[in-house]
Amino acid sequence: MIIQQIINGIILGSIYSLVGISFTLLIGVLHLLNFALGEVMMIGALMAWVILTFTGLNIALAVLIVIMATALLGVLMDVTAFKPLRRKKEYYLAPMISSIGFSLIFQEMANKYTGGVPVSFPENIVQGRIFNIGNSVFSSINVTVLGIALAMMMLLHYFLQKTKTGIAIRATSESFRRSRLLGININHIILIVSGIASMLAGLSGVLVGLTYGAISPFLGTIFVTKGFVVMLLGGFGSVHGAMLAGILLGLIEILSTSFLSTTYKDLWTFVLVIIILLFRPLGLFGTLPPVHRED
Amino acid sequence: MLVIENLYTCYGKVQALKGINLIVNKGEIVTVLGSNGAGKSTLINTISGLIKPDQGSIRFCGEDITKVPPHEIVLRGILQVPDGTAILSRLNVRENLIIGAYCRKDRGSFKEDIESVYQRFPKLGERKNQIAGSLSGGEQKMLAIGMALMGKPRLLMLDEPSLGLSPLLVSQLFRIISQLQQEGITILLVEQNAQKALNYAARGYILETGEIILSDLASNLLRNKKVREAYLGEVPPAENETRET
Repeated sequence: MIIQQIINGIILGSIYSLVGISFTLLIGVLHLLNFALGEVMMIGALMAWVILTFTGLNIALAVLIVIMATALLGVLMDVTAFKPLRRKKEYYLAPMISSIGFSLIFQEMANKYTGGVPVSFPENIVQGRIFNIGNSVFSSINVTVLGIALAMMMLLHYFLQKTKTGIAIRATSESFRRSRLLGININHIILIVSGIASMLAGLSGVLVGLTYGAISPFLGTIFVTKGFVVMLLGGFGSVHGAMLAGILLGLIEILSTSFLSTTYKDLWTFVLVIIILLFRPLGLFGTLPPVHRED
Repeated sequence: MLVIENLYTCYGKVQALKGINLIVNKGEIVTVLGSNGAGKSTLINTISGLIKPDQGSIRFCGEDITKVPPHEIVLRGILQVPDGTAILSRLNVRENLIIGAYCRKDRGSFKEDIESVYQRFPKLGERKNQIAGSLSGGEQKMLAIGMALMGKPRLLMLDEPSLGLSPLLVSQLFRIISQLQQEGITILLVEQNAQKALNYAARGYILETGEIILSDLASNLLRNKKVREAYLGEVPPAENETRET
Protein backbone atom coordinates (compact mmCIF):
# COMPACT_ATOMS: atom_id res chain seq x y z
CA MET A 1 0.00 0.00 0.00
CA ILE A 2 2.61 2.54 1.04
CA ILE A 3 4.90 1.53 -1.79
CA GLN A 4 2.05 1.92 -4.24
CA GLN A 5 1.39 5.43 -2.92
CA ILE A 6 5.04 6.38 -3.08
CA ILE A 7 5.25 5.28 -6.68
CA ASN A 8 2.05 7.11 -7.55
CA GLY A 9 3.53 10.16 -5.87
CA ILE A 10 6.67 9.92 -7.95
CA ILE A 11 4.66 9.59 -11.15
CA LEU A 12 2.54 12.65 -10.39
CA GLY A 13 5.63 14.42 -9.09
CA SER A 14 7.60 13.84 -12.27
CA ILE A 15 4.86 15.64 -14.18
CA TYR A 16 5.00 18.51 -11.69
CA SER A 17 8.77 18.58 -12.21
CA LEU A 18 8.37 19.10 -15.94
CA VAL A 19 5.90 21.96 -15.40
CA GLY A 20 8.21 23.48 -12.78
CA ILE A 21 11.22 23.27 -15.07
CA SER A 22 9.33 24.99 -17.82
CA PHE A 23 8.55 27.94 -15.49
CA THR A 24 12.07 27.94 -14.10
CA LEU A 25 13.69 28.14 -17.53
CA LEU A 26 11.68 31.19 -18.54
CA ILE A 27 12.22 32.91 -15.20
CA GLY A 28 15.91 32.06 -15.20
CA VAL A 29 16.74 33.22 -18.70
CA LEU A 30 14.08 35.81 -19.50
CA HIS A 31 12.82 36.83 -16.04
CA LEU A 32 9.42 36.04 -17.52
CA LEU A 33 6.55 34.59 -15.57
CA ASN A 34 4.45 33.04 -18.31
CA PHE A 35 0.95 32.23 -17.07
CA ALA A 36 0.01 30.78 -20.45
CA LEU A 37 2.24 27.75 -19.88
CA GLY A 38 -0.68 26.16 -18.02
CA GLU A 39 -2.81 26.57 -21.14
CA VAL A 40 0.01 25.24 -23.31
CA MET A 41 -0.23 22.14 -21.11
CA MET A 42 -3.95 21.98 -21.74
CA ILE A 43 -3.42 22.44 -25.48
CA GLY A 44 -0.83 19.64 -25.45
CA ALA A 45 -3.27 17.36 -23.67
CA LEU A 46 -6.09 18.30 -26.01
CA MET A 47 -3.91 17.68 -29.08
CA ALA A 48 -2.95 14.28 -27.72
CA TRP A 49 -6.62 13.53 -27.13
CA VAL A 50 -7.47 14.47 -30.74
CA ILE A 51 -4.60 12.42 -32.12
CA LEU A 52 -5.24 9.34 -30.00
CA THR A 53 -9.02 9.44 -30.41
CA PHE A 54 -9.40 10.21 -34.09
CA THR A 55 -6.24 9.24 -35.94
CA GLY A 56 -5.24 5.90 -34.49
CA LEU A 57 -1.61 6.98 -34.16
CA ASN A 58 0.25 5.55 -31.15
CA ILE A 59 1.37 7.38 -28.01
CA ALA A 60 4.97 7.85 -29.16
CA LEU A 61 3.89 9.64 -32.32
CA ALA A 62 1.33 11.70 -30.42
CA VAL A 63 4.04 12.82 -27.99
CA LEU A 64 6.34 13.72 -30.86
CA ILE A 65 3.72 15.79 -32.65
CA VAL A 66 2.66 17.59 -29.46
CA ILE A 67 6.27 18.37 -28.56
CA MET A 68 6.95 19.95 -31.92
CA ALA A 69 3.67 21.85 -32.05
CA THR A 70 3.94 23.29 -28.54
CA ALA A 71 7.60 24.23 -29.03
CA LEU A 72 6.49 26.19 -32.08
CA LEU A 73 3.67 27.75 -30.07
CA GLY A 74 6.18 28.92 -27.44
CA VAL A 75 8.37 30.50 -30.10
CA LEU A 76 5.35 32.20 -31.66
CA MET A 77 4.20 33.62 -28.33
CA ASP A 78 7.64 35.07 -27.74
CA VAL A 79 8.05 36.55 -31.19
CA THR A 80 4.59 38.10 -31.34
CA ALA A 81 4.09 39.33 -27.78
CA PHE A 82 7.15 39.20 -25.53
CA LYS A 83 9.99 40.13 -27.86
CA PRO A 84 8.59 43.55 -28.85
CA LEU A 85 8.17 44.36 -25.14
CA ARG A 86 11.75 43.39 -24.29
CA ARG A 87 13.09 46.24 -26.39
CA LYS A 88 11.41 48.74 -24.10
CA LYS A 89 13.04 49.73 -20.86
CA GLU A 90 10.18 49.32 -18.38
CA TYR A 91 9.23 45.88 -19.53
CA TYR A 92 9.11 43.93 -16.34
CA LEU A 93 5.40 43.42 -15.74
CA ALA A 94 4.02 43.93 -19.23
CA PRO A 95 4.97 40.48 -20.63
CA MET A 96 3.34 38.80 -17.64
CA ILE A 97 0.07 40.60 -18.36
CA SER A 98 0.35 39.59 -22.02
CA SER A 99 0.83 36.00 -20.92
CA ILE A 100 -2.41 36.18 -18.92
CA GLY A 101 -4.02 37.39 -22.14
CA PHE A 102 -2.70 34.36 -24.02
CA SER A 103 -3.87 32.13 -21.23
CA LEU A 104 -7.47 33.43 -21.48
CA ILE A 105 -7.47 33.26 -25.27
CA PHE A 106 -6.30 29.64 -25.27
CA GLN A 107 -8.77 28.72 -22.55
CA GLU A 108 -11.72 30.23 -24.41
CA MET A 109 -10.70 28.55 -27.66
CA ALA A 110 -10.48 25.17 -25.98
CA ASN A 111 -13.72 25.80 -24.15
CA LYS A 112 -15.44 26.49 -27.45
CA TYR A 113 -13.92 23.42 -29.05
CA THR A 114 -14.82 20.96 -26.31
CA GLY A 115 -18.14 22.57 -25.39
CA GLY A 116 -16.88 23.28 -21.89
CA VAL A 117 -17.01 19.69 -20.68
CA PRO A 118 -14.07 17.41 -19.89
CA VAL A 119 -13.13 14.98 -22.66
CA SER A 120 -12.07 11.39 -22.04
CA PHE A 121 -9.25 9.50 -23.68
CA PRO A 122 -10.12 6.16 -25.32
CA GLU A 123 -10.30 3.47 -22.62
CA ASN A 124 -8.06 0.98 -24.38
CA ILE A 125 -5.25 3.51 -24.48
CA VAL A 126 -5.31 4.96 -20.98
CA GLN A 127 -5.99 1.70 -19.22
CA GLY A 128 -2.95 -0.07 -20.62
CA ARG A 129 -1.91 -3.44 -19.33
CA ILE A 130 -2.44 -3.99 -15.62
CA PHE A 131 0.19 -5.85 -13.63
CA ASN A 132 1.03 -6.52 -10.00
CA ILE A 133 4.24 -6.04 -8.12
CA GLY A 134 3.75 -7.55 -4.68
CA ASN A 135 0.54 -6.04 -3.38
CA SER A 136 0.73 -3.03 -5.64
CA VAL A 137 -1.20 -2.64 -8.89
CA PHE A 138 0.22 -0.73 -11.80
CA SER A 139 -0.83 -0.01 -15.31
CA SER A 140 1.59 0.04 -18.20
CA ILE A 141 0.46 3.62 -18.85
CA ASN A 142 1.87 4.71 -15.46
CA VAL A 143 5.20 3.20 -16.37
CA THR A 144 5.12 4.90 -19.76
CA VAL A 145 4.35 8.29 -18.20
CA LEU A 146 7.11 7.97 -15.63
CA GLY A 147 9.54 6.76 -18.28
CA ILE A 148 8.84 9.66 -20.62
CA ALA A 149 9.10 12.23 -17.80
CA LEU A 150 12.37 10.86 -16.45
CA ALA A 151 13.87 10.47 -19.92
CA MET A 152 13.01 14.06 -20.74
CA MET A 153 14.62 15.28 -17.52
CA MET A 154 17.81 13.33 -18.17
CA LEU A 155 17.93 14.65 -21.72
CA LEU A 156 17.49 18.18 -20.43
CA HIS A 157 20.18 17.68 -17.81
CA TYR A 158 22.63 16.47 -20.44
CA PHE A 159 21.70 19.29 -22.79
CA LEU A 160 22.15 22.06 -20.20
CA GLN A 161 25.32 20.66 -18.61
CA LYS A 162 27.27 19.26 -21.50
CA THR A 163 26.39 20.87 -24.80
CA LYS A 164 27.71 24.19 -25.99
CA THR A 165 24.19 25.56 -26.49
CA GLY A 166 23.21 24.36 -23.02
CA ILE A 167 26.13 26.15 -21.41
CA ALA A 168 25.30 29.23 -23.48
CA ILE A 169 21.75 29.12 -22.08
CA ARG A 170 23.12 29.05 -18.55
CA ALA A 171 25.49 31.90 -19.42
CA THR A 172 22.62 33.94 -20.82
CA SER A 173 20.59 33.37 -17.67
CA GLU A 174 23.35 35.07 -15.73
CA SER A 175 24.06 38.04 -17.96
CA PHE A 176 22.81 39.11 -21.38
CA ARG A 177 25.62 41.61 -21.68
CA ARG A 178 28.50 39.32 -20.87
CA SER A 179 27.03 36.58 -23.05
CA ARG A 180 26.84 38.97 -25.98
CA LEU A 181 30.48 39.85 -25.49
CA LEU A 182 31.32 36.16 -25.81
CA GLY A 183 29.68 36.00 -29.21
CA ILE A 184 26.41 34.42 -28.11
CA ASN A 185 23.42 35.44 -30.18
CA ILE A 186 20.96 36.22 -27.41
CA ASN A 187 17.97 36.19 -29.74
CA HIS A 188 18.68 32.59 -30.75
CA ILE A 189 19.04 31.53 -27.14
CA ILE A 190 15.74 33.21 -26.24
CA LEU A 191 13.95 31.37 -29.03
CA ILE A 192 15.46 28.04 -27.99
CA VAL A 193 14.51 28.58 -24.35
CA SER A 194 10.97 29.71 -25.23
CA GLY A 195 10.58 26.61 -27.39
CA ILE A 196 11.92 24.20 -24.77
CA ALA A 197 9.83 25.69 -21.95
CA SER A 198 6.66 25.50 -24.00
CA MET A 199 7.50 22.00 -25.20
CA LEU A 200 7.95 20.80 -21.62
CA ALA A 201 4.56 22.23 -20.72
CA GLY A 202 2.95 20.56 -23.73
CA LEU A 203 4.55 17.24 -22.91
CA SER A 204 3.47 17.37 -19.29
CA GLY A 205 -0.06 18.08 -20.53
CA VAL A 206 -0.02 14.84 -22.51
CA LEU A 207 1.24 12.97 -19.46
CA VAL A 208 -1.52 14.47 -17.30
CA GLY A 209 -4.09 13.39 -19.88
CA LEU A 210 -2.73 9.86 -19.99
CA THR A 211 -2.55 9.60 -16.20
CA TYR A 212 -6.03 10.91 -15.44
CA GLY A 213 -7.73 9.66 -18.61
CA ALA A 214 -9.70 12.87 -18.95
CA ILE A 215 -8.93 16.54 -19.40
CA SER A 216 -10.83 19.78 -19.07
CA PRO A 217 -10.22 23.10 -20.82
CA PHE A 218 -9.43 24.56 -17.39
CA LEU A 219 -6.70 22.09 -16.55
CA GLY A 220 -4.09 24.81 -16.98
CA THR A 221 -5.25 26.90 -14.04
CA ILE A 222 -4.57 24.13 -11.51
CA PHE A 223 -1.19 23.29 -12.92
CA VAL A 224 0.04 26.87 -13.15
CA THR A 225 -0.16 27.06 -9.36
CA LYS A 226 1.65 23.75 -9.02
CA GLY A 227 4.28 24.96 -11.45
CA PHE A 228 4.88 28.12 -9.39
CA VAL A 229 5.21 26.09 -6.22
CA VAL A 230 7.73 23.75 -7.79
CA MET A 231 9.69 26.66 -9.20
CA LEU A 232 9.77 28.46 -5.86
CA LEU A 233 10.62 25.35 -3.86
CA GLY A 234 13.33 24.39 -6.29
CA GLY A 235 14.90 27.81 -6.15
CA PHE A 236 14.88 30.53 -8.80
CA GLY A 237 16.28 29.38 -12.09
CA SER A 238 17.45 26.03 -10.70
CA VAL A 239 16.49 23.25 -13.08
CA HIS A 240 17.79 20.51 -10.79
CA GLY A 241 15.93 22.10 -7.90
CA ALA A 242 12.70 22.01 -9.90
CA MET A 243 13.21 18.33 -10.73
CA LEU A 244 13.50 17.37 -7.06
CA ALA A 245 10.86 19.84 -5.85
CA GLY A 246 8.32 18.47 -8.33
CA ILE A 247 8.76 14.92 -7.15
CA LEU A 248 8.64 16.09 -3.54
CA LEU A 249 5.37 17.93 -4.17
CA GLY A 250 3.88 14.85 -5.86
CA LEU A 251 4.82 12.68 -2.89
CA ILE A 252 3.43 15.15 -0.36
CA GLU A 253 0.14 15.36 -2.24
CA ILE A 254 -0.40 11.64 -2.67
CA LEU A 255 0.74 10.72 0.82
CA SER A 256 -1.31 13.45 2.50
CA THR A 257 -4.35 12.29 0.51
CA SER A 258 -3.99 8.69 1.58
CA PHE A 259 -3.15 9.29 5.22
CA LEU A 260 -5.00 12.52 5.96
CA SER A 261 -8.08 13.78 4.20
CA THR A 262 -8.66 14.12 0.46
CA THR A 263 -10.64 17.29 0.98
CA TYR A 264 -7.63 19.19 2.25
CA LYS A 265 -5.13 17.88 -0.30
CA ASP A 266 -4.00 21.28 -1.51
CA LEU A 267 -4.23 22.76 1.96
CA TRP A 268 -1.56 20.44 3.38
CA THR A 269 0.61 21.06 0.38
CA PHE A 270 0.52 24.80 0.64
CA VAL A 271 0.91 24.88 4.42
CA LEU A 272 4.09 22.91 3.94
CA VAL A 273 5.25 25.14 1.11
CA ILE A 274 4.75 28.26 3.20
CA ILE A 275 6.67 26.71 6.08
CA ILE A 276 9.56 25.65 3.83
CA LEU A 277 9.77 29.11 2.28
CA LEU A 278 9.83 30.73 5.74
CA PHE A 279 13.01 28.87 6.51
CA ARG A 280 14.49 28.86 3.04
CA PRO A 281 13.21 31.92 1.14
CA LEU A 282 15.35 31.07 -1.87
CA GLY A 283 13.75 27.64 -2.12
CA LEU A 284 14.96 24.24 -1.00
CA PHE A 285 17.79 24.10 -3.48
CA GLY A 286 18.16 27.77 -4.31
CA THR A 287 21.56 29.07 -3.36
CA LEU A 288 21.55 32.30 -5.31
CA PRO A 289 19.03 35.13 -5.30
CA PRO A 290 17.64 36.03 -8.71
CA VAL A 291 20.35 37.86 -10.59
CA HIS A 292 19.81 41.51 -11.32
CA ARG A 293 20.92 41.89 -14.83
CA GLU A 294 23.04 44.84 -15.83
CA ASP A 295 21.75 45.07 -19.37
CA MET B 1 43.45 47.47 -38.13
CA LEU B 2 40.83 49.46 -36.21
CA VAL B 3 39.91 52.88 -37.54
CA ILE B 4 37.38 55.03 -35.72
CA GLU B 5 36.25 58.25 -37.34
CA ASN B 6 34.20 61.07 -35.89
CA LEU B 7 32.30 58.85 -33.45
CA TYR B 8 29.34 60.28 -31.52
CA THR B 9 27.56 58.09 -28.94
CA CYS B 10 24.95 58.78 -26.31
CA TYR B 11 24.95 56.96 -23.02
CA GLY B 12 21.38 57.21 -21.84
CA LYS B 13 20.57 60.86 -22.49
CA VAL B 14 24.14 62.07 -22.02
CA GLN B 15 26.32 62.73 -25.02
CA ALA B 16 29.18 60.48 -23.92
CA LEU B 17 31.39 60.55 -27.00
CA LYS B 18 31.80 63.70 -29.06
CA GLY B 19 33.64 63.04 -32.25
CA ILE B 20 36.26 60.44 -31.43
CA ASN B 21 39.01 59.66 -33.92
CA LEU B 22 41.22 56.74 -33.03
CA ILE B 23 43.45 54.26 -34.82
CA VAL B 24 44.89 50.96 -33.64
CA ASN B 25 47.54 49.39 -35.85
CA LYS B 26 48.09 45.67 -36.10
CA GLY B 27 50.32 44.29 -33.38
CA GLU B 28 50.52 47.33 -31.15
CA ILE B 29 49.27 48.13 -27.69
CA VAL B 30 47.23 51.31 -27.63
CA THR B 31 45.94 52.79 -24.44
CA VAL B 32 43.03 55.13 -23.80
CA LEU B 33 43.38 57.05 -20.55
CA GLY B 34 40.76 59.05 -18.78
CA SER B 35 39.12 59.61 -15.45
CA ASN B 36 35.78 58.18 -14.35
CA GLY B 37 32.97 59.27 -16.62
CA ALA B 38 35.27 60.37 -19.42
CA GLY B 39 33.56 57.93 -21.77
CA LYS B 40 36.13 55.12 -21.80
CA SER B 41 33.66 52.29 -21.28
CA THR B 42 31.19 53.86 -23.69
CA LEU B 43 33.91 53.90 -26.32
CA ILE B 44 34.79 50.25 -25.81
CA ASN B 45 31.13 49.21 -25.70
CA THR B 46 30.42 51.10 -28.90
CA ILE B 47 33.22 49.22 -30.62
CA SER B 48 31.77 45.97 -29.26
CA GLY B 49 28.39 46.88 -30.68
CA LEU B 50 26.57 46.95 -27.34
CA ILE B 51 25.78 50.63 -27.84
CA LYS B 52 24.85 52.03 -31.22
CA PRO B 53 26.62 55.25 -32.19
CA ASP B 54 24.65 58.25 -33.44
CA GLN B 55 27.26 59.25 -35.96
CA GLY B 56 30.64 58.28 -37.27
CA SER B 57 32.16 55.01 -38.38
CA ILE B 58 34.14 52.09 -37.00
CA ARG B 59 36.11 50.00 -39.46
CA PHE B 60 37.93 46.81 -38.64
CA CYS B 61 40.38 45.29 -41.13
CA GLY B 62 38.86 47.44 -43.82
CA GLU B 63 35.25 46.45 -43.14
CA ASP B 64 32.61 48.74 -41.71
CA ILE B 65 31.37 47.28 -38.43
CA THR B 66 29.45 50.30 -37.18
CA LYS B 67 26.04 48.63 -37.39
CA VAL B 68 27.09 45.01 -36.82
CA PRO B 69 25.48 43.28 -33.80
CA PRO B 70 27.74 42.38 -30.84
CA HIS B 71 27.91 38.62 -31.40
CA GLU B 72 29.05 39.12 -34.99
CA ILE B 73 31.69 41.62 -33.93
CA VAL B 74 33.05 38.87 -31.67
CA LEU B 75 33.02 36.48 -34.64
CA ARG B 76 35.20 38.94 -36.54
CA GLY B 77 37.83 38.74 -33.81
CA ILE B 78 37.21 41.75 -31.57
CA LEU B 79 36.92 40.50 -28.01
CA GLN B 80 36.29 42.59 -24.94
CA VAL B 81 37.18 41.80 -21.36
CA PRO B 82 34.62 44.00 -19.58
CA ASP B 83 35.35 45.81 -16.33
CA GLY B 84 34.02 44.52 -13.03
CA THR B 85 32.69 40.95 -13.13
CA ALA B 86 33.77 39.65 -16.48
CA ILE B 87 33.20 35.97 -15.85
CA LEU B 88 30.04 33.88 -15.49
CA SER B 89 29.97 33.29 -11.78
CA ARG B 90 27.55 30.35 -11.79
CA LEU B 91 29.49 28.27 -14.31
CA ASN B 92 32.65 26.46 -13.32
CA VAL B 93 36.07 27.47 -14.58
CA ARG B 94 36.14 24.92 -17.36
CA GLU B 95 32.64 25.83 -18.59
CA ASN B 96 33.67 29.48 -18.65
CA LEU B 97 36.56 28.59 -20.94
CA ILE B 98 34.31 26.44 -23.13
CA ILE B 99 31.87 29.31 -23.51
CA GLY B 100 34.81 31.61 -24.22
CA ALA B 101 35.36 29.59 -27.39
CA TYR B 102 31.65 29.83 -28.33
CA CYS B 103 32.40 32.18 -31.20
CA ARG B 104 34.84 29.79 -32.85
CA LYS B 105 33.86 27.69 -35.80
CA ASP B 106 36.89 25.37 -35.71
CA ARG B 107 36.84 22.58 -33.17
CA GLY B 108 40.28 21.17 -33.80
CA SER B 109 42.64 22.66 -31.25
CA PHE B 110 39.94 23.31 -28.66
CA LYS B 111 41.25 20.90 -25.97
CA GLU B 112 44.83 22.06 -26.41
CA ASP B 113 43.72 25.67 -26.11
CA ILE B 114 42.10 24.97 -22.76
CA GLU B 115 45.32 23.27 -21.65
CA SER B 116 47.39 26.22 -22.79
CA VAL B 117 45.18 28.57 -20.73
CA TYR B 118 45.80 26.30 -17.71
CA GLN B 119 49.52 26.47 -18.43
CA ARG B 120 49.47 30.23 -18.63
CA PHE B 121 47.37 30.48 -15.47
CA PRO B 122 48.17 27.41 -13.34
CA LYS B 123 45.69 28.54 -10.64
CA LEU B 124 42.84 28.06 -13.10
CA GLY B 125 43.99 24.53 -13.86
CA GLU B 126 43.94 23.68 -10.18
CA ARG B 127 40.38 24.99 -9.89
CA LYS B 128 38.90 23.93 -13.19
CA ASN B 129 35.84 22.31 -11.60
CA GLN B 130 35.26 25.11 -9.12
CA ILE B 131 32.37 27.55 -9.54
CA ALA B 132 33.89 30.70 -11.01
CA GLY B 133 32.08 32.96 -8.55
CA SER B 134 34.15 31.46 -5.73
CA LEU B 135 37.49 32.52 -7.26
CA SER B 136 39.39 35.50 -5.88
CA GLY B 137 39.30 38.82 -7.74
CA GLY B 138 42.70 38.23 -9.31
CA GLU B 139 41.82 34.71 -10.40
CA GLN B 140 38.57 35.95 -11.90
CA LYS B 141 40.50 38.51 -13.93
CA MET B 142 42.86 35.80 -15.18
CA LEU B 143 39.87 33.63 -16.07
CA ALA B 144 38.30 36.53 -17.96
CA ILE B 145 41.48 36.93 -20.00
CA GLY B 146 41.64 33.16 -20.50
CA MET B 147 38.06 33.20 -21.80
CA ALA B 148 38.93 35.92 -24.27
CA LEU B 149 41.99 33.97 -25.43
CA MET B 150 39.79 30.92 -26.04
CA GLY B 151 37.99 33.05 -28.63
CA LYS B 152 41.25 33.58 -30.57
CA PRO B 153 41.07 37.39 -30.63
CA ARG B 154 42.69 39.50 -33.31
CA LEU B 155 41.97 42.63 -31.29
CA LEU B 156 41.69 42.30 -27.53
CA MET B 157 40.04 45.17 -25.68
CA LEU B 158 40.61 45.35 -21.95
CA ASP B 159 38.38 47.64 -19.90
CA GLU B 160 40.26 48.74 -16.77
CA PRO B 161 41.82 45.34 -16.13
CA SER B 162 43.94 46.56 -13.21
CA LEU B 163 40.98 47.92 -11.24
CA GLY B 164 40.77 46.35 -7.79
CA LEU B 165 43.91 44.24 -8.13
CA SER B 166 46.83 44.33 -5.70
CA PRO B 167 50.05 46.02 -6.95
CA LEU B 168 51.68 42.61 -7.32
CA LEU B 169 48.82 41.32 -9.48
CA VAL B 170 48.78 44.52 -11.52
CA SER B 171 52.45 43.96 -12.42
CA GLN B 172 51.70 40.35 -13.29
CA LEU B 173 48.74 41.45 -15.41
CA PHE B 174 50.81 43.89 -17.44
CA ARG B 175 53.48 41.25 -18.01
CA ILE B 176 50.76 39.01 -19.42
CA ILE B 177 49.46 41.81 -21.63
CA SER B 178 52.89 42.38 -23.13
CA GLN B 179 53.28 38.61 -23.57
CA LEU B 180 50.03 38.52 -25.53
CA GLN B 181 51.25 41.33 -27.74
CA GLN B 182 54.43 39.37 -28.48
CA GLU B 183 52.24 36.47 -29.49
CA GLY B 184 50.67 38.70 -32.12
CA ILE B 185 47.48 39.96 -30.49
CA THR B 186 46.66 43.61 -30.98
CA ILE B 187 45.56 45.26 -27.76
CA LEU B 188 43.37 48.24 -26.92
CA LEU B 189 43.81 49.01 -23.27
CA VAL B 190 41.48 51.31 -21.39
CA GLU B 191 42.99 52.30 -18.08
CA GLN B 192 43.08 54.64 -15.13
CA ASN B 193 46.49 53.36 -14.13
CA ALA B 194 48.27 55.72 -16.50
CA GLN B 195 51.83 55.00 -15.42
CA LYS B 196 51.65 51.26 -16.08
CA ALA B 197 49.59 51.60 -19.23
CA LEU B 198 51.96 54.14 -20.79
CA ASN B 199 54.97 52.02 -19.88
CA TYR B 200 53.64 49.13 -21.93
CA ALA B 201 51.74 50.88 -24.72
CA ALA B 202 53.18 52.23 -27.93
CA ARG B 203 50.69 55.07 -28.18
CA GLY B 204 48.11 56.64 -25.98
CA TYR B 205 44.96 58.74 -26.21
CA ILE B 206 43.73 61.01 -23.44
CA LEU B 207 39.95 61.10 -23.19
CA GLU B 208 38.18 63.88 -21.31
CA THR B 209 34.39 64.31 -21.17
CA GLY B 210 33.91 62.46 -24.41
CA GLU B 211 36.65 64.11 -26.42
CA ILE B 212 40.19 63.12 -27.21
CA ILE B 213 42.24 66.04 -26.02
CA LEU B 214 45.65 64.55 -26.65
CA SER B 215 47.16 61.67 -28.58
CA ASP B 216 50.82 60.87 -28.93
CA LEU B 217 53.49 58.22 -28.51
CA ALA B 218 53.36 56.78 -25.01
CA SER B 219 56.90 57.97 -24.30
CA ASN B 220 55.93 61.55 -25.19
CA LEU B 221 52.81 61.38 -23.06
CA LEU B 222 54.90 60.21 -20.11
CA ARG B 223 56.96 63.40 -20.47
CA ASN B 224 53.99 65.69 -21.13
CA LYS B 225 53.50 68.15 -18.30
CA LYS B 226 49.70 68.13 -18.46
CA VAL B 227 49.54 64.36 -18.45
CA ARG B 228 51.97 64.13 -15.57
CA GLU B 229 49.86 66.47 -13.50
CA ALA B 230 46.45 65.07 -14.34
CA TYR B 231 47.12 61.35 -14.61
CA LEU B 232 50.45 60.54 -13.03
CA GLY B 233 49.84 62.34 -9.76
CA GLU B 234 52.61 64.90 -10.09
CA VAL B 235 51.87 67.95 -8.00
CA PRO B 236 52.17 71.13 -10.06
CA PRO B 237 54.63 73.59 -8.52
CA ALA B 238 52.21 76.50 -8.43
CA GLU B 239 49.65 74.60 -6.42
CA ASN B 240 52.41 73.43 -4.13
CA GLU B 241 53.33 76.97 -3.21
CA THR B 242 49.82 78.12 -2.51
CA ARG B 243 49.30 75.23 -0.16
CA GLU B 244 52.38 76.15 1.83
CA THR B 245 51.40 79.73 2.40
